[in-house]
Amino acid sequence: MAKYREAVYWHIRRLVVSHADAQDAAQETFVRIFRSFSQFRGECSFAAWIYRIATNEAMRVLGRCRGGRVSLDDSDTEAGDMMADEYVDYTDLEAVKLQQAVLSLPPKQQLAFNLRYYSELEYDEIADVAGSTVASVKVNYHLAKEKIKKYMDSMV
Amino acid sequence: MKKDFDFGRIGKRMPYTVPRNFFDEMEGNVWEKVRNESAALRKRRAFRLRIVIGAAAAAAVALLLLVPDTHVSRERSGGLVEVEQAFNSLAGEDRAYILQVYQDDLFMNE
Repeated sequence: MAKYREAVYWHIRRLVVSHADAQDAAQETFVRIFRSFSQFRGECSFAAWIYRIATNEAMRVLGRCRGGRVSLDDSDTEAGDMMADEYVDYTDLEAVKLQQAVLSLPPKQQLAFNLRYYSELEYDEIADVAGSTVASVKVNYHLAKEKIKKYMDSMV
Repeated sequence: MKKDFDFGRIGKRMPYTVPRNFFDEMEGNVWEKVRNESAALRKRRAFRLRIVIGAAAAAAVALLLLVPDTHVSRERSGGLVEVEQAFNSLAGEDRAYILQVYQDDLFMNE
């Protein structure tokens, strides 16, 4: 657990933003990992399996907050927001803007960007997490980067 | 001059923070929950095992009580059938005589 606890928490935090929600989802992720450890068949990497559970938990928390189920396939999912949270350093303007840019992306692009840029997963691992193909992940990552660049340049 | 955004400049910096000792506390919470769940699961399994053992013991006792009883009743019914067959094979006069002699017998009609 020591190896993955921070990686899992930060992955969830980038998706749900609020520290309390991220804590809830991260704890539940590890409980689920322990519960279903015997069901891991090695069809994907262990990291991909863990990130998939973490992503599902993040989606569950987001669904609870938004009063419904949130899915990666929702193209019209309302963009997440940097709501006021005790554990956000608003003085780091550039970092805040970058997170706002990431949160404005559609879920699949957001996930592809976070898992590649921050978590440094391989494209095939990201495809396993997202239940998608490598080609689709590459397209989503490329689109995400382009949109983020445009967003950041427009805010300067 | 306007400068294009560069990912290399910001790197993986994020504005998010966590409380002090947060990760150790989170790990502690997870272990506690997992331990409690395992203990509850062990209790449930032990309870289920006790029920299965109890049911098996009850079934075994019922079997012990039923098997000799059936055997005895079969023996009893077998004996009566034989007597009836023997009686039927008698001549009419003999049957009438037996009935007459034994119909008031205290032990036969008890």
